[in-house]
Amino acid sequence: MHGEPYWDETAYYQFTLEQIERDIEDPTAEIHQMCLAIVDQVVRDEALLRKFQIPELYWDVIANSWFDFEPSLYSRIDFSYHGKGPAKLYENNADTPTSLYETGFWQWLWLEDKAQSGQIARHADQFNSLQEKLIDRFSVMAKQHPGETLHFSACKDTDEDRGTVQYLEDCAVQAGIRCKFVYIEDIGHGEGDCFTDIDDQVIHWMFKLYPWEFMFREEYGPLLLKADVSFIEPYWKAILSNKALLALLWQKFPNHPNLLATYFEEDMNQAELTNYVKKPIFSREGANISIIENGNEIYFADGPYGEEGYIYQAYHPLPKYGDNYTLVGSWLVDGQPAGISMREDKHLITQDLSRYLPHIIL
Amino acid sequence: MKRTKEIDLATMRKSAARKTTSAKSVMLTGTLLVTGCGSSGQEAVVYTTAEQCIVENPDSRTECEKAYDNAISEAERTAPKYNSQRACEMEFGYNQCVQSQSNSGWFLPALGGFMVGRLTGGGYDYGRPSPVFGYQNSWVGADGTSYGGRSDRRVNVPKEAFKSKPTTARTISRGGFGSKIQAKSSWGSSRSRGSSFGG
Repeated sequence: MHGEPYWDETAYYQFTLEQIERDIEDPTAEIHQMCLAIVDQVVRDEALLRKFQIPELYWDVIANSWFDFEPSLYSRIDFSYHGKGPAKLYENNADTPTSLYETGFWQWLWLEDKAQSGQIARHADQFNSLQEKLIDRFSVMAKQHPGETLHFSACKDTDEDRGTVQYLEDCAVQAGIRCKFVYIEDIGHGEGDCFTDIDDQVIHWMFKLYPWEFMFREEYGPLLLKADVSFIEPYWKAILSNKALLALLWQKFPNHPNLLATYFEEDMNQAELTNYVKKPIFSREGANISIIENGNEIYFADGPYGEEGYIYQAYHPLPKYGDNYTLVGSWLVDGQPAGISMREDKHLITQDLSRYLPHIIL
Repeated sequence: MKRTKEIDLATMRKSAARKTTSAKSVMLTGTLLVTGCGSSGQEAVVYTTAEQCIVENPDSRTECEKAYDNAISEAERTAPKYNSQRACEMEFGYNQCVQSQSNSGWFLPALGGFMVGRLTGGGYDYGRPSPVFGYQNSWVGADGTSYGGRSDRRVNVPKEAFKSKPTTARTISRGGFGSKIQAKSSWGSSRSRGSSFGG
């Protein structure tokens, strides 16, 4: 991928059980609950929905999905963790996280092989129950959709996203669900205000690896309100995955050990941040992020995002091992911590070309 | 233990190697399923009309009529739909198509008959009829599965033949999602592929 390795088996990260449980797993569960508290606040507050750049047309459908407890599948919380002290929350990828297959399957298999061949101690463990939890979660969801086909969807021309969706599809099949795939671009508007797949089959239940903030702003957005489709992830993830959430977290839980001070632009005059990161409210793969130290921009990642505004987060660099900066991705399935993925990048900002590394607990 | 004990390797390993299949699976033109006489199949009978069913099963008049009505509405719900009679006839043959009863101007293959499965204890399962359509010399279901020759009345079919089929709808337009990512991907020509959404 881009001539750089993405999956890397030459090295691995080693943690103690205490590091995993105390520094990653417990904070992951707690932060998720804190984020849900923010969702509950935002869905009831028009001013906040505006701040989150959610088009007014979708306020009701988002609130309803929240009050109806529409089930979610998964999310990934990204941490900067230096091996000691509290892990710091970078962001919450709650709508369209990827690198699932590498985590849930390849990383697991890697340890299995290394332990078999004696290269790693037999009793070495790994924080990774991701696949098992995904299948269990799909089994629960299947009961709410008896006999229904679950349509999986991703964009054309992105192998990584197609791979992620293929993996989830395999997990769903394991849970006894009938699955079908349709590209995002091939979804049709069917007669009677429904969505159809490429075979004109009506879509009732869909997993989409495509962000809500895009769907709300595209031609078929308004049709979402008429078509009777149950989505994974549910509408309320539009709030949970929004970077404006980071500023509200700091307002509601100031000085929480796992949080970095984060502000909206209008609150920056009282923020007293000298070193900070400027992040677009909507952004993917580290695009349009800049790092400011003492008023100087020391790093800038170019990109197509930012028109909806920015948040400002205290600068807390990633740990550097050798030439690489390392980011911990902590997975949740149905709100339960389910494992971690380690990603390395030569740059301070982790982008989509970063390398994936396995880990062990010893 | 923080790690899953067992993973079904045979099932999951294939994900990586598997390539995306062509999304367009054209109905009714693929290889038709051969319905063998193996024990996994189910005996069934095809009635072309409610009357034919009644003549052969005089005690089941109500059941036959209900099964026929049920097959009509199932056909309406699950059959492939076309914008014009001509487009439908291109697939199913001259005079083999009807206008939709929902009066929305689309066309679907005419109901060829309904198929009911034989119950293990004897008699037929009229409550779960499967609509069949004439396609060339075969009976096919709404999803294009062949259930035997058109001259056959007694057929042996897979059990899936009586499972509920997905609803279809005539598609008015496509492409209403995906424009944002196209706009974002076109940014930066150095990228060798479209953007992904991982964080």
